[in-house]
Amino acid sequence: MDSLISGLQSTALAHWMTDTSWTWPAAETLHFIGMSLLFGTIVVIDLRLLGLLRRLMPWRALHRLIPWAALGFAINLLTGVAFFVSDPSNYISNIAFRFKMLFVLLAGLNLVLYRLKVDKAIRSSADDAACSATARFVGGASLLAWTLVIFCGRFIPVFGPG
Amino acid sequence: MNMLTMMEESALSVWVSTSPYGYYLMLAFHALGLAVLVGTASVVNLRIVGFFRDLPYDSLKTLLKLGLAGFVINVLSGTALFMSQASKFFYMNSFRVKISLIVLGMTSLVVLRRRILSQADHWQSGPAPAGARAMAAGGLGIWLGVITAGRLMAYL
Repeated sequence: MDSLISGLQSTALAHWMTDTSWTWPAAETLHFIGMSLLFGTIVVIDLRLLGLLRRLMPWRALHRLIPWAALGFAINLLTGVAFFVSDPSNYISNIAFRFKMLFVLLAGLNLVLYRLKVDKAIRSSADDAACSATARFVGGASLLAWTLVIFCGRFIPVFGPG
Repeated sequence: MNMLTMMEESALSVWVSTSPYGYYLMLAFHALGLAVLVGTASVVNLRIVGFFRDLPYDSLKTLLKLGLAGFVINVLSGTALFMSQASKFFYMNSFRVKISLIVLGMTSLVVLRRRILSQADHWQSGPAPAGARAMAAGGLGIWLGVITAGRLMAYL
């Protein structure tokens, strides 16, 4: 474990993050931009899954938003990895970080549930069709999980550097 | 500037700066409001620029209401954060740039909303007029600037 941590910290990425003055704030700024892109598109999709905006939001429009959510997630995965490798031991032991990762994981499992149980059904249903109980659950769970991800993320500095 | 000191001594400011989690709780709400406001503003602006054309212009009015909710969360949490260190933030260039950009960003959303309400029926089948698209593209850049200036406030 210790060798893994020191291995991560000796990567070129970790050195670049800690030895250059502007990389950390720049990565944080990108992390906030990725967050806005991911959360903004996810909220719209989740509200439709919950059954709101039914008249206004055709399913095919929401499918067009998914690549932008994926882009936001990719930005935050990359910048998140950059933060993590710079200070792995402090992140691993940080309770807010652990909860944040737990909620990201739950959001991921929720996405699997969406792919298995909801996606196919809405692709073959009318644009203003009502939502199944599973679709409403997936929408509500996603909204809650990503909100908690943001909250836990902002509490990481309370429990240590980051 | 006694007013700035008075703000710092208010009950709210004392709570934000002395309770163990007050400051971070306000920061957490500020991040959530940011995600809601900038997220929905980005969807609206990207739609007007010309992405995901299956999304009807009508739906943007509803999204802007959601964005307004994010804005309200951030005016409230931002006021609490500002008051807790008023005499520091007030003189920071990054803070002044951030507030100016927010005024620009919100103004552009209000103008776009008016154009959507009054004209979008005519755009329905095609792209928005060049002026609206330019304003939406500018709006995307403005919100990136708001986030950047806000982040810099923690460093400068």
